[in-house]
Amino acid sequence: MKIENTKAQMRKGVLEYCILSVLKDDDAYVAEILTTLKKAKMLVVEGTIYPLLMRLKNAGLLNYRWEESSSGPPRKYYGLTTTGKLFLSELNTTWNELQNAVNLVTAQKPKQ
Amino acid sequence: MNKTVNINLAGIFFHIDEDAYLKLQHYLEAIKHSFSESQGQSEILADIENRIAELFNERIKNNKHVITSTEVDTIIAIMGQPEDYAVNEDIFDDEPQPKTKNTKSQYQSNFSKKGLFRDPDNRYISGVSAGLAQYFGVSAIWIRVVWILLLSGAGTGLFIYIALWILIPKATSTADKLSMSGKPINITNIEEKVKEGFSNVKDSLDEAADKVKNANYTTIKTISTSFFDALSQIFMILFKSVKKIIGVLLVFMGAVSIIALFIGLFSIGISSLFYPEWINNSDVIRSSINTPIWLISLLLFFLIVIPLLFMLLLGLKILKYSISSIGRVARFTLFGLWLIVFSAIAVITIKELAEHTTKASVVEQSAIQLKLNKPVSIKMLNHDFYQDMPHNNVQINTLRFENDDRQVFSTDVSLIIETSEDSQAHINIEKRANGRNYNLAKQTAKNIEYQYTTKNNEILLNDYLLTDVGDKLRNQKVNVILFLPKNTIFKLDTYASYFVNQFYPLNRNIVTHTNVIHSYKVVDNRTIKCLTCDVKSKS
Repeated sequence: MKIENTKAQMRKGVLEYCILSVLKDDDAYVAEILTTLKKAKMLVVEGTIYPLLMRLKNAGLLNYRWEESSSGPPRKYYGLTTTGKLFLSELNTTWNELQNAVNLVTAQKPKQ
Repeated sequence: MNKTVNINLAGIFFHIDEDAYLKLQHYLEAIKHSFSESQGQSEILADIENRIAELFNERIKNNKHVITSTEVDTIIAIMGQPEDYAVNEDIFDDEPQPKTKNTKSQYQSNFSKKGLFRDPDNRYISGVSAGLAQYFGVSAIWIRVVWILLLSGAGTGLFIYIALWILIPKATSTADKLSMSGKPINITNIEEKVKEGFSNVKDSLDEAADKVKNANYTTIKTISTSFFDALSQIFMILFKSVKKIIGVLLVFMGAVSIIALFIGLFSIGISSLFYPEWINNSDVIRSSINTPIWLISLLLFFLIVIPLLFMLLLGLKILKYSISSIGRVARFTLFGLWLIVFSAIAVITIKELAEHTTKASVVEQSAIQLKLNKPVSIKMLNHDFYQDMPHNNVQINTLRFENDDRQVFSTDVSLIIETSEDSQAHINIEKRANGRNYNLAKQTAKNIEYQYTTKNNEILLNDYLLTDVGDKLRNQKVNVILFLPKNTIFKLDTYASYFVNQFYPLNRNIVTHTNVIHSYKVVDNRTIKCLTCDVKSKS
């Protein structure tokens, strides 16, 4: 078992949740999502995000619209659908529970 | 100095160095192969191109800026290697999806395993041989030689070839081709393969130039390829319609037989009420085996109905009814049930057969008083119950009812005439039976009831034996061995002649199944002579 794989899997597991969270308040285009995620060190390489966005879009959690850009190609602005919002609030609860649980477990002193 | 290329990336125009262009192209090609079409390959790729264009745009200072190889490297570093694009489906799939979606991840898990594909790049007909050659790591020429040998062997090769053509998938994607040659699917190999593809194109261009020289090889190959392409298309159309017909047939046969089986299962009980013969027959079965009949019929029902069910499902699947998918769990449960039923039947069969493994016999010997100077008459007597039936119609093993007391009735009686050692006549009643072990067999043999009487120089033998129903049918049999002194003359009744065991050497002169009462004379201990037979009827 490689530590790199485990790390990547952990990160990938929460990545969907993070993407949805970034879009919670405002629509954003890919570069914006990427900047936020990269700043938080959630992402190492950008490529990872595309199949995820596709999955979320295909699952009906996200939709997008095209917007012209003054510099460069037109941009895809992603936003949450109603299902996406519901999904996100569910994930929020789960995440909080999970966080508490993990904190509890990891904070336990090892038994002698 | 570098040559530059103009490209249109997501609708934006870029100048790019040729080597940088090739690098970018390989990169995009490799990414393309990381996704299947069902994952939204083209849309993802468009998004990625879009992003790359954006990143290039940020780096371009003026209109004349040329994108270099280093810049492409930076972009690739930002975007990540094709492996990073791959979504680990195991984590993300909510439920395991069948087939289409998982093809790629399957390849990944089977990484270094070689896959069997048809190799379209090195094909003569459909690439079966080239694929097999890659799979077994031998030169394709040997495989083709084997095909030709098989073909001359009554054409079996043709059928195998067509079957393989249908069964083995064609290697279409780069990943397939890598798997075919047994290389792990990673970016280096994909790129290598893609490069190989480019150089192949280049090669074929070169080839085209001096095609005239190598005309033979190339044309044969092209003609053979295009001819078999057309043939395969015709074949596919035929195959599809044949498939439909097979599907309809499977569904029809499956459904009809399942319905028939159900009717059969439930009507055995009902029909036995209306047709008393049923009781007789089922009693015969019941009395020959230890296992209850309902259990056996139920087991047999499942043994037959499960394969029929699969046949029905297969038919529905061929006809592409999505409802026909009953799920893996159900399929495995049914298959498991079938295996259990099959082994249960096997166990029962072995157990029942074991009831017949050992043979035993009991002999009752007694002397009989006869006036040996006069002819002795040997007769066989019918049981009252079967009085009216001709002998041939009496079943060997059946049951009779007497005062509500059922007994096994059998006409498995044979008669043997022997020469007596002394001047007395004897009769040996040899009772035989089978059983699980010697003691049981012997007990069953002992329980056989067999009677005979003698009066007025007549030996009256029963043509049947009786035994208790509890003893079951265990191949019970009676041999009547009649010892007659030398020079005794005896008359054999016509009916009795049916029972004579002619395989016994001394009895081979006795005419069996005859309508004439013959007289015989015991000459010595090796011959019995027929006195009334003329040469004609003897033959």
